[in-house]
Amino acid sequence: MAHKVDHEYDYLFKIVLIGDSGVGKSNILSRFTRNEFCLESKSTIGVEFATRTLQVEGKTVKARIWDTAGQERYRAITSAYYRGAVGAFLVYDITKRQTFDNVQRWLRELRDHADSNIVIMMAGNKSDLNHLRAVSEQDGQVLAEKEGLSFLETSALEALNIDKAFQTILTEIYHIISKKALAAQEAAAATAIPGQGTTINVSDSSGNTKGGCCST
Amino acid sequence: MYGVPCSGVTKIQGPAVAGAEVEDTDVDETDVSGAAAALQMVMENCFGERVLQKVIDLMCMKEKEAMRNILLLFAKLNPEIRYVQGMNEVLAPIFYVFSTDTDEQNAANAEADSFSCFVRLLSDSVDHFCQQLDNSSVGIHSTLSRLSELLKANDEELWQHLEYTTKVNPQFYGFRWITLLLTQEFDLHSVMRIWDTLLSNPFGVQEMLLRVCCAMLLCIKSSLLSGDFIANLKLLQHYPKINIEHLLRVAKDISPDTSSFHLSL
Repeated sequence: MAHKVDHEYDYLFKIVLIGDSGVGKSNILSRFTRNEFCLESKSTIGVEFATRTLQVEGKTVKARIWDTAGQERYRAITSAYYRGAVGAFLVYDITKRQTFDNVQRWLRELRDHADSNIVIMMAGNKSDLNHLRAVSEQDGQVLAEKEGLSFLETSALEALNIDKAFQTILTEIYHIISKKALAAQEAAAATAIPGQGTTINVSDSSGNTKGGCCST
Repeated sequence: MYGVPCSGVTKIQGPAVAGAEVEDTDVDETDVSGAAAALQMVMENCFGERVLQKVIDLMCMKEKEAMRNILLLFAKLNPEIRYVQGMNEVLAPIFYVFSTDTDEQNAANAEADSFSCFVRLLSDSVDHFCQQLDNSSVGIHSTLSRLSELLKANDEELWQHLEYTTKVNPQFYGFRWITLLLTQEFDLHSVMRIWDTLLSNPFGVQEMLLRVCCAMLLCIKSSLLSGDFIANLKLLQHYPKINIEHLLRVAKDISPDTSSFHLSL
């Protein structure tokens, strides 16, 4: 069977885009993958899928991104897609307090359905609507630090910080993966030489996702 | 288009409120705030949908309000389902047909007629919108399994390639196709042509819908067979422009989903 298989990448990372409906998830995705923005975009029903390949520290990384419907009805359908995701892009709308307050609910969703080591980038979207702001940047930063998330304010409309946010989360995932690979290699080497039985705690490598709020 | 003033409203108020309010808005409580929230929810999701663009071009506020009323009333009469994003897309072709009737008297009754038809059209598939029924025999997963079985019965090679080789589960594409009766997959004109076939078919709308969905897969078989997971998913989530008459002919020739009964294609 002839396959049109794309092998031109070093790493393939699955990312889920989550957050309340109307916060701009689909436009963040279209801005990142196609450099497009649509003011009249329709509601996402179920999930939509897109990819983009980019360079992370010299490696070619392909991001497979699942954009999910935000409405409550679709929650059970979309949470099935969290499995296997190494990153989550959690979006709220800086002009809507409620969408920020619901970040906790989304974190709970991730805890319930996603891998515990998932890397989370929280994005306060629609930063172009500063005059309608209902969530201060500081509130975002405080929450991000408390929950150990990366954080940026973004504007899909103005293409502000969208690439940076994805670059940040993909770099963070890459670091964790490469550290794990290194640790695994060392562990293998250690077992090969029985005299040097140093224990390497692999799970430590994912502990450093906290702190380092990326907003500047 | 959904005009400059509307786009402002939607951008500012956004369906975010809808998402947030859905749980809190109990339409059984007929208090003003509940109704207002439900109304706002419907309104925000009613505007600015791409499939509606042609319709909305022609629309004045009165017509937008009529669509809002229909969806609001439906939500109130179905408190266990309420308003679900996407219902507006199912309503749009119906409302378009009635409101553009050349008979003025008929056009004047578009709101009531559309409501009645919308309710009847959804009567055998409204459970697809209900999260509590997702895993029941009438829920969306069961219908998606039927689509899978139908494909298997009609083209096992393609079925095998999609579900096993490339692991493209029907849920990834069929969920939207089925819940929204294909309204997001084709332009309005094509949707109306497909719906003529769905509505006039003796097997019923849902049965014919599954056949059309299956035919959509068969019509792009060669692309699907040469695609991997990513290529196939992108193709199915952005279905290419095809000849609708040909699609419907293929759909009509599809044999029913019974393993003991095969029509040769």
